Amino acid sequence: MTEKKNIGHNHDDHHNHSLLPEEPELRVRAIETLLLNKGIINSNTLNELIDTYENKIGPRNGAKVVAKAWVDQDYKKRLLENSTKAIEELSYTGRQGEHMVVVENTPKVHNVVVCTLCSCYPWPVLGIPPTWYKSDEYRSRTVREPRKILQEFGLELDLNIQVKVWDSTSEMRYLVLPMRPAGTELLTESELESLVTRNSMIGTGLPEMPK
Amino acid sequence: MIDQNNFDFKSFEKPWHGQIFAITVSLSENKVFKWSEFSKLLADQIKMDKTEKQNGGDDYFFSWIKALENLIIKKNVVDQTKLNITKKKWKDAFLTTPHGHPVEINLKKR
Repeated sequence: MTEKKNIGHNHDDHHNHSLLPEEPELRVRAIETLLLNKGIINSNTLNELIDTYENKIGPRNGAKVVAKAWVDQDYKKRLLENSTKAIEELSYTGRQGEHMVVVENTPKVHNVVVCTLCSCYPWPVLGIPPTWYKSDEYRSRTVREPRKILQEFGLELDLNIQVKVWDSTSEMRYLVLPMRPAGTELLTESELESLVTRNSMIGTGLPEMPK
Repeated sequence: MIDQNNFDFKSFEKPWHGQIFAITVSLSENKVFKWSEFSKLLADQIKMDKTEKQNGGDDYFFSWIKALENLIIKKNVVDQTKLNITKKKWKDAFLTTPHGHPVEINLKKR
């Protein structure tokens, strides 16, 4: 014989139904249901898209571009002259990568990328933008006080280094080519790749130093 | 001070962020609208919803939902009433489906 005991809080009294999602999630479900029902979208495509941007496309692609430019001067030249085409050489093409501009950091210039209006971002080389990139603070303050923003990211730049801010649009997307860290002359291309961080390609960081 | 969320990086913080993203990309690739049309509306919506607390997470994707709803209504793909009814059906389904059972709705049932 079994006996069910309820001690203290009676779970069933309060939660006898499924957990109600938040308002935005219900709205997404409504949109999705109607569009699936009309056959305008299909579930497999949606799942593939999510899997692609969660697991396959991300800043490792951009790191490959940067490392190649560090070791191959001809590639670097092509990359700065026609970024979209040079990035295509590594097969990073498609959505939101159609109009790429690579901007090079030098001892005198540090570049930083923002999208002041929404969140334009070069998906094929960097994936989905991080949350902070879409925040009101980053979008509104980067143009106004770039040095302060960079400080908050732990980047103290000498006052004689010019900071250039690039505002992305849906027609123009930027990737920063950071400077190759000193002391990396003996590293291979793939070792160099591992030093390239996402933030160093947005301009809110620098590549890691070799261990 | 910007919350950098730097090293623990997930493409989508919540499943619905990924869903609405994928729905929008898919519609644009099916030529329901151009990406530039959507990004313009998204920019407007973000501006309309602007608060200093907007941290680029839920609030950003909530603006995204509203922009997409407006666009698909404008393009006569769906209408506001149907969206409201369907949302209500989902809400009711969640409130009436016993915990642990799959939550489903039947569109044809009125």
